[in-house]
Amino acid sequence: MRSTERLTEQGGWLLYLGMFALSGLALTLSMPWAATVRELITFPWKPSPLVFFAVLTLMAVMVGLNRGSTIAPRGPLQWRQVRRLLGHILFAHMLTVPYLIFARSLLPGHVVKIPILTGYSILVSLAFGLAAYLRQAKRWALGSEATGLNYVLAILVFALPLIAWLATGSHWQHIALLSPVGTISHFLGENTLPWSLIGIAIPLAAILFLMALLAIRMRRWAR
Amino acid sequence: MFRRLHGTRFALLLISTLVLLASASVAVSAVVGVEVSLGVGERVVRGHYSPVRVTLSAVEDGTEGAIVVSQLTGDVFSDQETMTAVIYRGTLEDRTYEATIPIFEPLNPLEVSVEDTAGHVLRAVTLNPRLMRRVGPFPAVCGPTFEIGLDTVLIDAGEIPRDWWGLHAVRQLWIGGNAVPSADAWRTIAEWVLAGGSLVVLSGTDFYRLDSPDLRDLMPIGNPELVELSGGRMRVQGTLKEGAVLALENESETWSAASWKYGSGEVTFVSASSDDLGQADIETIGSMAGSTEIPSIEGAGASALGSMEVIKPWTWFAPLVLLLGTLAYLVFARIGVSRPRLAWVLLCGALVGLSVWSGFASRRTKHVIDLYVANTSVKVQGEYGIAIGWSSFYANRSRMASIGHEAGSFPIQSLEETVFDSDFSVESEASATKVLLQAHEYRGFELYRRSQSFFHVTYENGRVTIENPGEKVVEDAVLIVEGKVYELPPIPSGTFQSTLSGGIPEYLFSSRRVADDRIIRQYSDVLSYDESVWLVVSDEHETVTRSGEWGEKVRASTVTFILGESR
Repeated sequence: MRSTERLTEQGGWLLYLGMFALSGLALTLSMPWAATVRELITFPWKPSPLVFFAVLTLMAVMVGLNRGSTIAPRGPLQWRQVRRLLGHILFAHMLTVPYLIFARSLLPGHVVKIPILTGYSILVSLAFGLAAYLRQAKRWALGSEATGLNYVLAILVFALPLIAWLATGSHWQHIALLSPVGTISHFLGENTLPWSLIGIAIPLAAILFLMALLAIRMRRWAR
Repeated sequence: MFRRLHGTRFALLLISTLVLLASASVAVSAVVGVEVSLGVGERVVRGHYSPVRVTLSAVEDGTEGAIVVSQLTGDVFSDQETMTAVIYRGTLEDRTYEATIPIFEPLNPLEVSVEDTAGHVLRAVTLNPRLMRRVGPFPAVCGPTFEIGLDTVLIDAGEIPRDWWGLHAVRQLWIGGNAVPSADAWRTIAEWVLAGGSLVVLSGTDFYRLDSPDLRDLMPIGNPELVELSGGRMRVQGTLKEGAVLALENESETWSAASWKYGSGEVTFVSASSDDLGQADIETIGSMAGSTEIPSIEGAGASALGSMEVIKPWTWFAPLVLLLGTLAYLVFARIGVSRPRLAWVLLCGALVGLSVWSGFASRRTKHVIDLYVANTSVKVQGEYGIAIGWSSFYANRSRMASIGHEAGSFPIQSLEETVFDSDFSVESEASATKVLLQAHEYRGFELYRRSQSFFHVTYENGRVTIENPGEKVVEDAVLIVEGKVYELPPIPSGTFQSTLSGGIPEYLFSSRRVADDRIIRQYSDVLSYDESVWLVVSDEHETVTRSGEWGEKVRASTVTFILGESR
């Protein structure tokens, strides 16, 4: 199978397009539309590219989940499948490079945050992709079919910490870091670097954990 | 041990401590003596400027420090904020320091503190402006002792403030009797009238006492002289100046009142001393003379801010990239299976092209900024000069902003329209005021100051001569003669002459700058374009400054009205 076919198999091409289109839409909505200050006063605009990065990360997670379960083998687990998963995620992000460059006009003085947030989006996508890969591989092994549960769980991971934060108020505000949207919001805020780093470390830790799990499963399979 | 402390030793320790504390407080209070007087005739009005005089005594030589006035805004049921104004910073001496400060809320106490360089309070005096409060602008009488209304305030000539805006809360200023204002006081009065003040001068046989070149410039009559009437009574007579009218004459023709517009204000001259006038005469003159009305340029300032262009990337860029990128991707998906290499080349080429375009579209000059400021000011210059400024702010997010001003010229902010349960603290240093703006908040500040004229304008038989002593070429200038506006070519440094032609009525004139046109129209009635010659110089420029994540765009517009001489 050619790389182009692998990229687009099982509805992949639609997901990349969805990610590209929805990120572009979010970026469009993030821009100030007012031409004069009078319009700006009437229709206030908050200088935050939060919506763009939140949508980008959410769509990247969808790509990760789809690609992870698509790549999952019916046979033995392989590291090259993980590399392929990463390749698909990177391809999805490559499509959004024009947006990422353009987004710097929304973040004057903080251009360095854009590659960091892009990297974060890739990490979150990879973490969810690995989880989907492992879960689907297990389901194949047990003879079950794929379900949409992965997507529901992903949405819950995005939403539940934010709901918990809103419910508990400022005392538990850092619980929002468990949600990628919370971490992005923290990172785009002022003087929140230490907590933001913790938020960014969460998908990294998840990836390491899932990789370890993958290694263990590979070893078991080899026996 | 505790038991041992009880008794005599404990009492001794307690007494020693109290003595030490008492002597320390005496020593501190002995450092600086502070006396404060506030208001015109010790009267203040909410939202109006008021002079404050701080007299220091027993200050050690070489003491460095500052005199700070702090006020609270609002009331206990709403958000209260402290407004501070540093009226002096430097070496403190035994003398009187005067400044003119805005009074935010006279129901709250006002504190004047003398601080050292480290910010430690050496001495603080708290005033209760509640007892000095007037509900609105009041008539002030300088010299005579009569009352025009219940709210009349009697003042001495020495109480006339240093700055013309110190008379902001005065509705009418009456001068007569034995008042002999100093040259500086006359200058203050003249500037205040030029800005919109209403002055009533009473002078009968005692005219010699008041007479001064400054007064003669203000008076609606020229060549005033004392003449003897039948019956041996004396009165001041003269010729009415152009634009002046005889407003009143009593039945016995022993006195009359002439008035005229002087700048934005009005001067009424009564040719009788206060002793010759009855209460009914005074009330008649009081109702005839106008009230102080300093034109606000808030509308023009708000227009200047509102019409500023927002700095941002091209609005349709992102949708266009979305469209082109989608097309490129669809082509890639369509031919990717059959001609994969071509598909990758096309997709990568499209992405590189769009990325480069993105780079150009999001260059630094297109980065969004978070603060827009319009500094609009009007200067009216004749023999004297005044300036009225309005600074409008709009911030996309909460941030500090600064208003630069001349020493002692503190801005007064329009609180009612701008505060919504948020921090609206204002800290004024001698030459700048710092304000904390809330996100999406519009804030306006009014600022008064003096202004010096540099131009000399002469109009004679359709020809204008302008002396421009500056080095800069004046690009935007018009001349208003008899209500018609004549556009002038750039005025170079030195002497400039031009023959006027093609004038258009003032109401049809457009300079293509919203704020300028609005100001020129607003001042058409105020400055009587029909009766005088005015050179109107406009200057407008915009600057964008960026520092890291902060950016601000400032539009500075100044319209200067220079009174010309008509021959």
